Amino acid sequence: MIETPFVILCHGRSGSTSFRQLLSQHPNVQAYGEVFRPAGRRQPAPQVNGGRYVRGCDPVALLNDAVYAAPNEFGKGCVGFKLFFHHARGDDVSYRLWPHLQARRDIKIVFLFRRNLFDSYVSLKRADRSGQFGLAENAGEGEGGSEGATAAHRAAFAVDLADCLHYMNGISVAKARLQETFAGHETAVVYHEDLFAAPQAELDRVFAFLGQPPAALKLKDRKLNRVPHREGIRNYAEVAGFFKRSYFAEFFDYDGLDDKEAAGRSSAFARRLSVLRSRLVRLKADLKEAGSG
Amino acid sequence: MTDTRFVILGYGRSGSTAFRNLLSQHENIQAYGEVFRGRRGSGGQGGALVNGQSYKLGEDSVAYLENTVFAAPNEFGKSCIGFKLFFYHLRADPVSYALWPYLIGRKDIKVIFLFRRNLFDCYVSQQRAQRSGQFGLHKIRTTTDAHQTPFEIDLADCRDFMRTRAQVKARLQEFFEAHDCLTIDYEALFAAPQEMMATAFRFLGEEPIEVGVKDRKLNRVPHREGITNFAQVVRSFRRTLFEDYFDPEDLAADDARASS
Repeated sequence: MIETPFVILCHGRSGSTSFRQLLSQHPNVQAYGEVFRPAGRRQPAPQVNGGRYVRGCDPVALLNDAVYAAPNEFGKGCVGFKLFFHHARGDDVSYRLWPHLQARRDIKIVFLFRRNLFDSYVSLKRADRSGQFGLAENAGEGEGGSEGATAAHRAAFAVDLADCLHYMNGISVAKARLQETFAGHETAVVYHEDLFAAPQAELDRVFAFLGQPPAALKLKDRKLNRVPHREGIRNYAEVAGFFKRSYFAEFFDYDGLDDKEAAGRSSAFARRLSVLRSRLVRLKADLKEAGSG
Repeated sequence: MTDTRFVILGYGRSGSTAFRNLLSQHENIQAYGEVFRGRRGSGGQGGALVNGQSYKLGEDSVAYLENTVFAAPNEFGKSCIGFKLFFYHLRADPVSYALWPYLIGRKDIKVIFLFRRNLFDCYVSQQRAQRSGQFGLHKIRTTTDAHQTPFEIDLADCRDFMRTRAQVKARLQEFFEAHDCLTIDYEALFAAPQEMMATAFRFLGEEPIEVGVKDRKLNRVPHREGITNFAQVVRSFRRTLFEDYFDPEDLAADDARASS
């Protein structure tokens, strides 16, 4: 067993790849990627210290015999990995990881969240549409960053209200529940927004939490999308209005929005009605498309 | 004697009525009920009475708070004054809603969060109350049969309820993180009422007193007897973020059923 095991509990589009790469620049810290990524995703789970997670394998054995095994392949003593909320929940065998992590109080927990879940949703949709989930290793160097995002990634699109609500609900529930279930552990919370505003300071704080001395980092601008939501989201006023006076309101900028469009639908009933209406519009469009096809 | 203003933030079926009654046993503390409850139109109940007045939706909520609810000393001569506010109160129109940003801006108001850790228990409690019309033991001293009747759980409704409350807790704590806050769990409050109330009194700057505690628990039917589709409910929440709301014994029974 290495001396300091940790886990980064996070969600997609929270900057977790940049975060783990920054962490791993430390001479004694190794932060692996999505070690428990379910089989059948875009990429298989990464190779870790001589082991790899495959369908049906015992996650607890992989954790202890490979991920946290000493000596670490890079000779580091503080080792962790990224775990998304939905990982290791597909069947009873893979799920063993969660109660094990909850019982292991010696494992330090680093939560990585994005404060603004609407930004996170837009980032996910752009990545899904363009197939571009991050910048290539060498992109953005000396060329100002935004050139890295493809035109498909920057293309304007309309947000589906029901889908967006479902996404933001899901992440905030996971965020709340995981903080409760790991309340007995040593934990640190990192926000995407702070990480990108002051990476060196945030990383030094995390290094201290992990019991490591500070380390000077090489920083790159990794931001993919730079299109403001008002230009990049076709129905921004409608979306902002939909969430007005809800507890997601602070994710939106209401300055100068058309009052009529952004009037706000605050009651649960009105919100449900909006969702149904948007589904109906989509259904009509699908029918029309099917008819013309 | 302090001149303190506070708010109890949370949701229904979390023991908030018992909690406000316990707080109000203190000679200088008055914890009002759901002062800003209500729906527009004539159908809904108005806000709880304060000084003989009741808030109606659409009225200036900030003015009502300052001039009526927080007026000190109050009708009972107390000057440490608070009220219950549920997360869904005052969100229907911009005038009523003004209270939320106002409260977030007023850092001198102390915030007591009252949450129920086990949201499945909370859901069952709400369903039983809605079915029986019995929301507490205040008027009649016994639990009615209607309240204890076994019933079937609608899985989607239950999931929706638990998801909403889990995130309400997180969001409210984020909104009020710059305030002086105290979080009390329903479970801890009922397990050790004297200790939790002493913590609450000290938080409000008052000398703790010994409170008179009555057993107010309504439903005592174990879920496995009181919910007709309980096995299905347990199965559907396995491996989710809500699994820990279920008793280890019920999870073991589910494992046994799955392997047979």
